[in-house]
Amino acid sequence: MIMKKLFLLIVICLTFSSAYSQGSSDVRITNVRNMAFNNLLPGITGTIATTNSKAGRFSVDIRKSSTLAVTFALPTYLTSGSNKLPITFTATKSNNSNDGVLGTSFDPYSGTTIRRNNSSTRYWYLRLGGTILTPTNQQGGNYSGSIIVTISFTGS
Amino acid sequence: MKKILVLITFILIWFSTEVNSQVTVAPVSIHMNDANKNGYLLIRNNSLTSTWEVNIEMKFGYPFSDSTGNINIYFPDTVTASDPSAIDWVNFFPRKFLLKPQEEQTVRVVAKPPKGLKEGEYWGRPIISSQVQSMEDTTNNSQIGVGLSVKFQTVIAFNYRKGKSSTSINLLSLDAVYEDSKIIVSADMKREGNSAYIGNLIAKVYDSRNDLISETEQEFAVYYTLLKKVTLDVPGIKKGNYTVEVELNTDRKEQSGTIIKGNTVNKKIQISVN
Repeated sequence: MIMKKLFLLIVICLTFSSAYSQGSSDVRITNVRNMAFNNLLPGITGTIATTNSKAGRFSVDIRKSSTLAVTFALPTYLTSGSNKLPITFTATKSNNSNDGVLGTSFDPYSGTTIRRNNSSTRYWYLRLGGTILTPTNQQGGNYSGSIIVTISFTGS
Repeated sequence: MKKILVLITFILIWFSTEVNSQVTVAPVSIHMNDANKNGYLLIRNNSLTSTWEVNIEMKFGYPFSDSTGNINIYFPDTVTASDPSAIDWVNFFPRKFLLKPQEEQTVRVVAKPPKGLKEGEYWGRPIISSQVQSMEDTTNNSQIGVGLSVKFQTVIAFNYRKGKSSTSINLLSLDAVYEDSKIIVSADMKREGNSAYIGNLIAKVYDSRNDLISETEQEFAVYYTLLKKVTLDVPGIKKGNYTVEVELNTDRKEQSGTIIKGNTVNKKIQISVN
């Protein structure tokens, strides 16, 4: 009985996964998670390393052999009304989905190139870390900013 | 039983990755000509929960390499009359729309080239921007809360051919160096004719007995000039002399339209590993 239920579950999962794959392009980008800073305290530096589970993470599934240029437009400040909070970023790229494994560092302000040469380089994981230095007199509030991730096909 | 549980876990992880995917675009290059002035893009929201705002614009740009061989898309600040730009007479319908979870939208691409347009190829780079429909956070926070949103841009290729199109490639120089169990091949190329050379670079390394020890194939596109670098892994390579063979060709299959056939170039150089 249990085996039957397990088999049914597998069939359902496979059916749904197949449906979602329809109409897909050569590349699929997934925002696995946004960077997640905890609430910060004035005068204390908040840092998220790229190996931290709170780092921003994007996955790129390159389904056909191709080369992609990846660039980021990153905010210098996060804002809350007229108040500003300075932020800087770090980045890594890797074929390993494990967050704890350090990838290859690159400058997120310059961007990087990812390429599928073979099946082992199909999946790429881009991680963004960051540092926020809060002055001692920083006003409370919800500070926000926007990151633009651009994926360009350079081989066509 | 254990094996089945592992299998289910694997499937569920894969499944959850798939359903979290965001907007995808197909195809990633559009080729049009006088006989084919209409095309389409299929844009799909793969999310199960989020509505995405999608915006399409087109800029004039093309692949460009810096002195180190890094390739990106170059968008000139100003487009001059001598630039073969298609951006003023190509439209997308619709340009802005919302995609609910699992929805897809077919976008018509219509080219209306002006009368008297000179023979040749005209270019643009459609940029498909997508972001989750924003919800303004109006809650008060006495502490310092931080939120970062993400917008995605996918930059694809657009080419329109007017009249007779031709292309060929001129391999200006070919170099290879050995560094840390890798052979890095640099090909400096210039395009001839009136259209981009969209092709493949195949690089092979042979030892002194003419045995193949490494090879790679990569796509590239030369709109004016391009410095293309490819890296071949050669772990455990012994000291000695090697031959690096490079082929440039246009034997590519594209989803949307035809690649213009150009010349094939073959060249060999020698490299010493000390």
